[in-house]
Amino acid sequence: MARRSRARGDKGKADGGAALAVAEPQPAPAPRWDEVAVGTAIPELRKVVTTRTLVQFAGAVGDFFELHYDQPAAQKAGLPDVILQGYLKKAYLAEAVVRWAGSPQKLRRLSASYRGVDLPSRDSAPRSFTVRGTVTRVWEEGGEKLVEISLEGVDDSGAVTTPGRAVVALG
Amino acid sequence: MTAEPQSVVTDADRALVGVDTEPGYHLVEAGAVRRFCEAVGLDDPIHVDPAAAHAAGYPERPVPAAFWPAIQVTGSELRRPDLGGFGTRSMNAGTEFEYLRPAYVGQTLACTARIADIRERDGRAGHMVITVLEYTWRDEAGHVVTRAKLTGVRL
Repeated sequence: MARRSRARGDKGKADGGAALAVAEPQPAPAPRWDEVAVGTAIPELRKVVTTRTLVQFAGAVGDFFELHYDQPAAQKAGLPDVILQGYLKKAYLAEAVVRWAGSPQKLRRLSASYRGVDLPSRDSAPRSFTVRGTVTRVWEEGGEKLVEISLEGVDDSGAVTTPGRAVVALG
Repeated sequence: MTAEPQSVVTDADRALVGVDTEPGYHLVEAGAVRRFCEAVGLDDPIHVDPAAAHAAGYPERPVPAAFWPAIQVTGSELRRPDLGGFGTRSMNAGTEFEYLRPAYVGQTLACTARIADIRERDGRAGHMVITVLEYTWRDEAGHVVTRAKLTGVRL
């Protein structure tokens, strides 16, 4: 038989050397639409991305663009180091929203702009990528109770490299 | 006071707008979903453990919200505008996803792509061409599951 597993909250597992979630938000009950207001903040999500993460992600999505794993190629393009994939950063935006909303199926829209580059964490230069979000609109449409969240993917200097926007349907 | 507008988009480029590729078919494999979750550090067991998915009320393991790039290959090549060789740099400016129906491990989804729009602008960085690609995933019944718009900038 399959092992017994709580649907949400099984957070003890190692994640195979992937991006380390540091100070990961604890699972919380899904928010109720009528208790959400403009200005409500969603829990921050902080990720430490290594070059190993970049290679794992390249393999997972089958995108082998050299800027994400070949340092000479990145430097030839004028970058100081390899850079995080836009879709990797978007996955973190999605994770922050979904952790808060309680289910991936509550997501209706998700957009991200790749405004600035982000570099992986190195032993000589530890870095992290943090996702923050704030509710900007609460409304009903087409029989659904919707919430819009303004998202910011920020680097350690506080620069917003990856602004985004999500719409979720809450029960 | 911008430089005089010049168009680098040719008629041949414009003819590519609105033409769908052939569909590429993707079985949503459990192993591919697991590798994606490991890569991004997504530890919610509903994506990889059928029992956890059922316990949470899902009929199957739901696809992670950001999984779509892993199954973004179409059945025929999407012809890109060549813009008469214009530009030295291409940038991925952003993506916008719309989720219309749930998707699960084990489904076979069809992915098509088209160029939705090509437009030009003169900005601070000079002349630029903005190309919007649209990807659509459909389920076995032909219903649109997810749609994505990718905005690329050439300058």
